[in-house]
Amino acid sequence: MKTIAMRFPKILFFLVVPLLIELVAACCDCPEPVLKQYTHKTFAVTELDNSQADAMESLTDTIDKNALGIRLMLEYEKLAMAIPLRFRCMNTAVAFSCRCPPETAYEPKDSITSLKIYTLFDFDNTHPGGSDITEYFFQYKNNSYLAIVNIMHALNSTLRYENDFNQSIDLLLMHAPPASSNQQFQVILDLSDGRQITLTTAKIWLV
Amino acid sequence: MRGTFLCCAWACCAAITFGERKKALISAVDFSPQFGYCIPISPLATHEGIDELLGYTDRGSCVEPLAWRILFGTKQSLELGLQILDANNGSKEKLYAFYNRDVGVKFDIEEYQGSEFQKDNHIKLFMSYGYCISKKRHSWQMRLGFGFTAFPTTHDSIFAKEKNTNRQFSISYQARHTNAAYATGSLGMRYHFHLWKKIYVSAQSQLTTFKPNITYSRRIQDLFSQETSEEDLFSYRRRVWNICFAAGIGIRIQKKK
Repeated sequence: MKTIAMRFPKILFFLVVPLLIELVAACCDCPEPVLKQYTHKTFAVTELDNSQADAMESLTDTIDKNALGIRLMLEYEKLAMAIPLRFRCMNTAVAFSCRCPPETAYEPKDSITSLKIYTLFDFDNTHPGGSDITEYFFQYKNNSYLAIVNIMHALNSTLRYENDFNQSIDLLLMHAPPASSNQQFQVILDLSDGRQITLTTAKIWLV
Repeated sequence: MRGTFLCCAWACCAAITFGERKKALISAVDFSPQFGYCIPISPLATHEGIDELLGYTDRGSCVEPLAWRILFGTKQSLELGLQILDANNGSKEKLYAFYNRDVGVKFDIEEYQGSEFQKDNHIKLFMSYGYCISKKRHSWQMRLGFGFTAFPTTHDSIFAKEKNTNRQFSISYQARHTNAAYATGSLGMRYHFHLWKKIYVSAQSQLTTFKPNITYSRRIQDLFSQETSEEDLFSYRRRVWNICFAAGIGIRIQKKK
């Protein structure tokens, strides 16, 4: 006759089995993300000096005209935050390797519908002060140059990670003015909720 | 085969040179898979060429820390031992000549300003034949080698930015004459730790220099305008220094005395 003490390891094993199954099963269970909303909170622009290997915010008012850029900084704000209730023996965080996306995704409540860049000084023969020179700016991403019209979807993307809520986009001037000149640029953003954001760079001397 | 013959000849010449009681014989054969990495300690020709092209001529760097190479291969050494027996006190010194044959693959990882080189084939087969003279004291071995190294160099490309502009380029190199052998010199230290009679682990550091003689064509594409130009006969005639660290486990088949 086996005693309880002798059977204890087996009993313990059968008690632990469900937990082990749960541990493995938790890996394969990526829940659908709960959708929340965010709003565009703050905007800022700064001039970029891209003359070296990496673009950096300019510390002077003189920049090489072939290496000028504008950094557009966007900060988003979450409109709601909810922690979904889950009924589990075990938190999925202790599973082997879940690699699930965050449980909450944020979509824009108000989207940027238009991004225009204007020159405040005479730029070239065809673009006097006040002209739209949006077509001269490009974003370099994934080894190709993207026109501003092609990056609008990125400005209104679904956000998942904390880092996404502060973004900056470098817009590079790919058509330099023909001669050295003072330049200042105005970035105008239109939002779907009717807001219009106007941002102005500092006056810079392009050489 | 020719190398073996030359090595035997070297050992025989050395034996004749010594006037005491000596014995030249094939004493051991080593088979030692190695794993390690090499760091170029002179600027890479690719990096210098790209710097010159893009206008970054003022770096002045003599060490390129962002280039390294993982190597995995075998060090096959046919060891010709020359035993010098001193009849007076019975002490024994050994002077070895090696016939080295390194065969393996190299995984090259190079970075240029944070951008990794894109290679069609990261794996390079290398074969190096050479002779090492070593003086073995306990488990340390000093190795001086001369030989030839050949490995096919494949298509390399990188995306890089021009200095003082917003323009980015795709630069690619296509090698020619890739089967040429490079004269290689090396100086290194090797440590053996015997786990068992015939099995040992070894750690090795080696300073290697070789003078490649590869001709490259360089293709440059402006990613904004999509204009492409190609230069022929961009030559790599320059000396390269590598320092390598490798560790491995080896089998020694030693002839019984």
